[in-house]
Amino acid sequence: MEKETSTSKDRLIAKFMEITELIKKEYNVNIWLVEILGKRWSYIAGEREDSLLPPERIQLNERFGVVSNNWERIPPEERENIISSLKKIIETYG
Amino acid sequence: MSVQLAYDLSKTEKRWMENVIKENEITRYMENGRDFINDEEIWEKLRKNRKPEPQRIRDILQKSLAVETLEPDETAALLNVEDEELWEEMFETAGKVKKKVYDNRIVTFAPLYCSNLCVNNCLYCGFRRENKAEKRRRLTLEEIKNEARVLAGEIGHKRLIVVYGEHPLSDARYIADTIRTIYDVKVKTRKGFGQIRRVNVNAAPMCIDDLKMLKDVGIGTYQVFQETYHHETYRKVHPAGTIKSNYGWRLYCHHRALEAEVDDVAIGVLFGLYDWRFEVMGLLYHARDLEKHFNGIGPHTISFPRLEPAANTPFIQQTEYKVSDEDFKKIIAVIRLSVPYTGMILTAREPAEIRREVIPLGCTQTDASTRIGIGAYSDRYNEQEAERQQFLLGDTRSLDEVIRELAEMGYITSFCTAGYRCGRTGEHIMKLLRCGREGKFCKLNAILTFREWLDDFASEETKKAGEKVIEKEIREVKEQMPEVYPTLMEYYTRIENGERDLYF
Repeated sequence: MEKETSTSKDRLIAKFMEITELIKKEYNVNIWLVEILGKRWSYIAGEREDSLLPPERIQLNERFGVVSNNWERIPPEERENIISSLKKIIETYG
Repeated sequence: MSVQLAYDLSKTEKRWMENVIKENEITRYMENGRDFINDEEIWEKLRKNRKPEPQRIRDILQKSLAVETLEPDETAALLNVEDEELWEEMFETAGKVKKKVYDNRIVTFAPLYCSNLCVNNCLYCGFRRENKAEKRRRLTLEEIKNEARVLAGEIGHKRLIVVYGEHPLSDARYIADTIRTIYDVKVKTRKGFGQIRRVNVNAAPMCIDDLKMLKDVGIGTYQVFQETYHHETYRKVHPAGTIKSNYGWRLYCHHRALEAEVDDVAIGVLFGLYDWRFEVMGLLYHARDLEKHFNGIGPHTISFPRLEPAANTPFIQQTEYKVSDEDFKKIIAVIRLSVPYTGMILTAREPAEIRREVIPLGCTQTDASTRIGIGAYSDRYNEQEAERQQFLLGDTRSLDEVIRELAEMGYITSFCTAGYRCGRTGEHIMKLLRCGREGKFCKLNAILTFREWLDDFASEETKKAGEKVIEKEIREVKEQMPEVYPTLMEYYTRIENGERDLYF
């Protein structure tokens, strides 16, 4: 049981990292994945923040979210696409 | 709910105790069947590094300034310095390391004691089972809510450390319920609202499943002190047959927490049980073992309380390892230099004059308006009552007084709890701390949260002192971080207008 959970989380992280790298390459924006536990948004994976601007949190579902200091560097339409892709990954592996 | 605990354990308590420790959750982290504290090796390091050359010490200080965890030989060398002038250099460097990692802020918090029922019998502790002088009580959730309302709505705290004895009536389920209850409290204040934004937990070691339960309700930091790292002393002060007598169960509880993905953990020693140099080495070995097993995640904070008198607890007067004020300063400086990224907690156990003296040596957090009797905040008693406290406090000043003094010393008080609400936890925050970036967030968030507190809770006198510090800090942001200055000022104005909980 423990192993299955771990494998599923590993896959989630691997998929998330693929998207993260593309975002970094295309827009020079760092994002990181978090697990939402009440008030706590607990780090799971992703690039560390490279800017001092306020972090903007986006909730993907009840349990997961993504954070970045630089969402505004990504055009709104493209940002929507990224969030949709992340939601799909969460649905599949989360 | 009031309970007078009998001298003998009940059947329920005994049955519960039998099921707490999971041997495989100790042995899985051991190497060759041994834990990571090798008493002989520590003494050997302390012997081998006697009379260190001043240049070697200065080289080690450079490593601390680069925010690198020291090697055991290096910490042993620092602990062996005898030259008073060299100690002064070490004190100064410790202060510089703190400033580099955490900037100029001191975070404040309050302890909230929820239950003093305990099945253990630790010789130094007022809560020990055999201490019949202690009045036993476990707060109901309604009483917890009342405590939180005073702390968040009248004093202005944003961060708590909740404390529990080890007992079936204060198990992980009860702890989880109390955390949820505290987070739900919201109180109107002068200009905004008060709320506890981070609940840290000081409780007995737990199994991984119980720790997952605390993770799910949004625990801040999980704090457990080893008390003493010296095996023989540990055995002596924690009588056989108690849960706490199991050294390994306690030593590896942070490993279990990290495995349960509670990724902020805190360690500490109760100084006065054994030789202080040995204990500092123990803390370093602990930090290094966590870093080794968990991808660089070390202790989020280290605490260094000294033994204080407690009701009907003669052991405290008898110990031969009491730490002098002079040695206490050395302990703080060497911890800061050895584990440069960690937060360091100075508590109200210490009297005001000692707090003033040691804060510049690298402390990052302190408590104020502290009451450690069960139900003490909402009962509104201000005198200390030994029989409902774990020990006696050295400093009972109000948060307002402590903040004013810190401001007069040039420090900004921070109520920041931003990090753990935007994913700056575990591995992520460790990287930010090591590269100095976290200190910049600390500076910005200190300004915003201090403004909130001054507007909602400060006396006129403290407000004046605090505003001088805020002006200086804002000037520094303008000079050092011009790119975020406009956003800071936008947030600052919104907070002045009554908005709350804006952060970087």
